[in-house]
Amino acid sequence: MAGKPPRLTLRIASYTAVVLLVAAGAILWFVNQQATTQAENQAAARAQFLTTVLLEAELTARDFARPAQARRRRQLDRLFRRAVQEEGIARVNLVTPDGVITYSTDPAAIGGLSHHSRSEVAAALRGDGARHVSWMNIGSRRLKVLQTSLPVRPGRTSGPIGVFELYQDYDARVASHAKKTLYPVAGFLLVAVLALCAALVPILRRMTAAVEERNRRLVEQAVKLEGSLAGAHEARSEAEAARRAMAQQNKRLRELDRLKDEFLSLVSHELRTPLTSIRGYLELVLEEEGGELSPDQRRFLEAVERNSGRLLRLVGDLLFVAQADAGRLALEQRKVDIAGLVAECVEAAQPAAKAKAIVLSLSASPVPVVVGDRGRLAQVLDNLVSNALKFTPEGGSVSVKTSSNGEHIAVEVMDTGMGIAREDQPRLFERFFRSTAAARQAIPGTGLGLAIVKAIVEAHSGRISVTSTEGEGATFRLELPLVKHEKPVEIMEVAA
Amino acid sequence: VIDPQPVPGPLLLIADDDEDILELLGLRLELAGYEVVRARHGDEALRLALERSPSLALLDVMMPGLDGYEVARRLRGDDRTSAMPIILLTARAQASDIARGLAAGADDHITKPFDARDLTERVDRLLRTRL
Repeated sequence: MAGKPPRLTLRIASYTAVVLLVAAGAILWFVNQQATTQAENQAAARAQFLTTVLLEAELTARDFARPAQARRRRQLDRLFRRAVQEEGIARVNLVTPDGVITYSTDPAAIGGLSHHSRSEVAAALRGDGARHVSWMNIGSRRLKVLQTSLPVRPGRTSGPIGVFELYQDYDARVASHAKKTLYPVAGFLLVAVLALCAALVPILRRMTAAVEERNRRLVEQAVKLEGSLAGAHEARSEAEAARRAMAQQNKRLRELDRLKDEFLSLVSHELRTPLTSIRGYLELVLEEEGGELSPDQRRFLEAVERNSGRLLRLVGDLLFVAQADAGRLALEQRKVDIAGLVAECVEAAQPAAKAKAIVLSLSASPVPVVVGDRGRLAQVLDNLVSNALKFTPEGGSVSVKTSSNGEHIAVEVMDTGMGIAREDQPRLFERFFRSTAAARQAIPGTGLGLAIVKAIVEAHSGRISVTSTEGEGATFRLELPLVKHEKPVEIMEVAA
Repeated sequence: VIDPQPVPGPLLLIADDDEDILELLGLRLELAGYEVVRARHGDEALRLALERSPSLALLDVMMPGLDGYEVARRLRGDDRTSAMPIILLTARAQASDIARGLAAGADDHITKPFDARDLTERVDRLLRTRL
């Protein structure tokens, strides 16, 4: 590819040179033609001059009557010598109208016949003297000659008495004259061609450079295109491989998910069945269906019942979280009066608050109804309030507030408890997360409560957040969006 | 320990492979005044349903052999028992489980662990609607 540009320049340059040379050749040929014609015309004019001005006065009818005798021949020789010697005239003949040569500068020809035919001689007599180029032997030389035949009219009025044949050395009289014109022209042309070439080279170079540049870019683009095509191909096969890997992984994940579901359902069943028996029989005993209980027996069995209840809730929570994780939370979609629900929840928590001497207050402003799962939302509120009570020391206070801003309704649960450390706050809603303070003070809990709260709230397209200063209490804020259009009140299960 | 009722109430068929739960269910229902016939697996439940013609069947879902769904389906498919009210007892209370129970022909379902009062209320209600 690197060798191409110079070759291109060379090719264009040689084409141009050939065209220029052909043009120059044509011009030279034309000039040569013109110059030759002109030289011939000059030569012919000279012949005319010789006959009319020089010879006609000297020649007489006698000169054409018979071949010249020695004396007359010498006279005529003298007459023509200068011309023959100095003017490049090869031969002069005087020819009778019958074609007999009466005098010639070549003595051998005298008395012979002109090599012109009679009709040619006749034409020359009429003044239509032919002029042509031919070859003839002059002595030992074979010479190219311009031959002119002219009538000789001694008197202005009388008819021609003979023909004057002039053989001029073509090279000396015509070609050399033509060359005098031709050579400067050729020289000029050569210079012109060279100048043109010189001028053309940079232009050519620029042109070829532009072409080469475009070529180079095209080649670059082609290479780039090839590259990107290869890249695209590669990317496609990579994407295909990734897709296959992903599909495989998805399949494995689905399988794992299925196994997890099976496991959870099994565990839930296997744990619930014995718990059912434990709680069922315990209930019978506490109802004293099996006989009267002593106060101690009742106290002990109530502890058993409380803890079996905890265990049951834990099983339920685990199952719930697993379902929420799998996006399979089935929520009822009904109108829910949150203010009423909050009031119920606060009322239900009053005994627990009283037991810890905590002031549990409610400042509920009426709020619009939201659409959601009443039972699940109650679970959220219970969770938040019981959490607040759990982490607030005796004598503290917990206040619950509802509000609405047209976009959403908010429920805030504020406590004066231990608060949550800043570093614990981001992880507070994670499953099984327990704050360092809760762990340190051995406050019971599974770390599932807030995770469940978050799952339920988010399933309602709501938000749960916390603000807290450690040691000064915490505020949990729950926001639920208000639906703009009234949804039909019916049970709709939204299972992803 | 338990006082026999002077007038025996309607006969109920209960089926569960867990002996303790079977006993617990029996006790609760007898305390509520019902007469109870107990089956320990699905085949026995089907046999007893035909032999004793109970007023209602309370079937655990997870039983070896014929499970609760299958027993419910067969009871519904038999002319002699097709009108018998059926309650399914399950530890799994997901929507899909409930839907499956309804599809098998159950009239109601009770989740474990059950509340004694809830149990008797549901049984009472179903029997009332059938009478």
